[in-house]
Amino acid sequence: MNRSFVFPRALRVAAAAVTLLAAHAPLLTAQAAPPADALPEAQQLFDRYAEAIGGRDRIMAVSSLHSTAEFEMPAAGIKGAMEIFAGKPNKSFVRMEFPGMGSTTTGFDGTVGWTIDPIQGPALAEGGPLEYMRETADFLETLGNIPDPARYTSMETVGRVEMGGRPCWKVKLVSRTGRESSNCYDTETGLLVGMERTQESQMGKIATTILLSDYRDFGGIRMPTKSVASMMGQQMMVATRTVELDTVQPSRFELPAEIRLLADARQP
Amino acid sequence: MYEVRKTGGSWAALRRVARGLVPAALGLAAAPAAAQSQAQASHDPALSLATFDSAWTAIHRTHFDTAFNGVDWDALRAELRPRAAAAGTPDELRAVVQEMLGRLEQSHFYLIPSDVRSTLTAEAEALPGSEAEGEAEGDVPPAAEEVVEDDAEAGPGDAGMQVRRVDGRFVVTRVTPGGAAEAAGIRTGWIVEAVDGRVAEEVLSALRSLEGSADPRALEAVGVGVFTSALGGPAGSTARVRLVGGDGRPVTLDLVRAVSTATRTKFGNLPEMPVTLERERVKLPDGTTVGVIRFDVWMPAISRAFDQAVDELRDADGIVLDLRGNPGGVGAMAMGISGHFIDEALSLGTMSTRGDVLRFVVNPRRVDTRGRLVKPYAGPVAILTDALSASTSEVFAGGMQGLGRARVFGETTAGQALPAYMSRLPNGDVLVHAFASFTGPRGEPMEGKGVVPDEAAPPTRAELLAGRDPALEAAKRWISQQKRSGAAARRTGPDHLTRSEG
Repeated sequence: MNRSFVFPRALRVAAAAVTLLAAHAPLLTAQAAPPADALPEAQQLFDRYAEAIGGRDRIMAVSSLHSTAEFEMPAAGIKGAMEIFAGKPNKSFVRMEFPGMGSTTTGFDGTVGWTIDPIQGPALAEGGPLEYMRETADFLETLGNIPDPARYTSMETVGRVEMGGRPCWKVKLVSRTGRESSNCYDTETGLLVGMERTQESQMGKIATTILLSDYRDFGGIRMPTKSVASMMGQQMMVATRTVELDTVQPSRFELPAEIRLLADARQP
Repeated sequence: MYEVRKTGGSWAALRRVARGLVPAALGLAAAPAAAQSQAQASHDPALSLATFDSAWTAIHRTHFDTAFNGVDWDALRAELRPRAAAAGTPDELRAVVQEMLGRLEQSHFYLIPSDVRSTLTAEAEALPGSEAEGEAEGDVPPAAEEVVEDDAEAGPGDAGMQVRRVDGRFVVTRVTPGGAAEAAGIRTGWIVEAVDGRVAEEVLSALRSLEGSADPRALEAVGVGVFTSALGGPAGSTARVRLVGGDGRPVTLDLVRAVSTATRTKFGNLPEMPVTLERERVKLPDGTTVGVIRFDVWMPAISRAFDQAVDELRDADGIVLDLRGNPGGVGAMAMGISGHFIDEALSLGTMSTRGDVLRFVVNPRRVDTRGRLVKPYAGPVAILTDALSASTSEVFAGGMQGLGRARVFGETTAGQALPAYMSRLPNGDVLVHAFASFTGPRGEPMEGKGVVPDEAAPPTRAELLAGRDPALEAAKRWISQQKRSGAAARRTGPDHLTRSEG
């Protein structure tokens, strides 16, 4: 599961709040690079990964996802529950419960990106943050982390590195909007073990490294149930508890009343 | 790359006096007695080293300045680690860690002991002027400690008064309506000579000894923290206060701490703390209506109440935000609160970590608490500050001032505006450590400097005795002038809940 779209809300709170930790071993260690002609093609790695998690046919057959999870920022003492809803083609709704603060929600209905949290109120995403939400809400990437070639101008395997203690092939991706990111595929299992992203929110851009592990089968698709995001010296861990496929009603992605008000008021 | 002003003084020296008192300045003095723990009961040398190493490493990896403000961080570790290993008690270890933090000479590097209250007590007793110094005969109510123990289940109490340093003395600056202090006849402007064995003159003497080597604002925070801590305690317990009244006569009173009306809240690694938000609408003699919102810490628990307060005061001719004594809290709140007064996604300031630059962007609040479209409040906004207004209070006040959206009255703020993490250490203490520098909307650093008021209005004892609040009154005058000048052509609001002055 691509959780990259999940983190900005938590980050927005945590980074600007008084929080979070540091300290972890270097996540990304370059190893002696093999000759360029020895590097597998990016598409090969994607195909192998798709097979490893259940096959493209199974992934393409899914129309929605609902997962529950627990998130934790250990050194900050913040721990809460979260729910993720995602639907084709690019709809998302994420709710996080912060003890001592309340419920923070983030959504994208295919057009409007929004957030509501107790300390900042409702807000529409605009500009770069909206574009970021649009890109990261792609359902197939959310579900299976398989890059859609149509969305990228460049997908290139750049080396054999180590992430989270696993040797992996690093693929550099450049989206049509110019956003750079990378995925790293385990050289042995083919599974995605790490990602590097530059997240974008109203506050700015934040370089983030995400480690994925503990894959489990949910309805014929293997998904990582543990992710650890590292950003600005702090970590956020997400442990997936349950995953349901094809159970989400379209109404889940309808705009909340206050967001609808804001969106309507913004119309020319 | 980073512009971080030193405060020009010795944070280490200050901490020798202030050890453990920063939480008091954070409003944690009323932490429940239940939080007390076996402070010195057990001590594990391996745990000491792990704790020291964890603190050193956290700063090594996250400090925004890779030059560590000129401190050789590796050498410091080599110097202090043996002392950490040799620490015989938890407090000895804390002293070593505090020394390491003090060498940075920057704000937002301190420990919150796992047992805040017991440490406060221990440190306060170690201060000059405490009962332990033998200077406080008659200043401690009989069996006070037993009262604390017996009423530990009663919850936090409130003596109903605030103390600040005014004209070189500790003076009552606020008396809570309906509280124990008011019932006992205490008035603003009275001099505080002692509270439960904490003798003001001795504390002042200790602070004076540090003048020139520490920022006076930090000294004030420490001194006020002593008395804030002493005035706190379980509901039903007694605080013996020795004062000098307006007529110059000394008086000793026993104040039975009332059940605190503050909301208790906890967020992350911060200890549970009390939070209050007060609002009122005041009608001035010339008909100007002023809304006043006062809250004591930036914690999410006050967000809803603040939103409701703004809704209620939308039709006022001006709004005063009283941040005096407010030490900060959750930084992200500044973006949401400022959005009640700014209709653009402007930046209150910028924080720079080692690798990222993030702006504190205003989120214009265009939906009210009843789900209706509104415009952010557009009338005059005044912000009141003092030397205890710190961190998020400075981000907000400095940002609003820098954007030209508010006029600041009162005193220069603490100059402690570094975004910080709060990491739990292996021994259970929380390490507060800055991970970013911060500059206001015009690029000016606030660390060390603080927010300088547009109109200085420090309190004097004479004015307090006369029942006056110079900063608030200056803000009201300005709002009244703004109304007369037509800058705030606004409707007169409903008179319900309105208090008339004059």
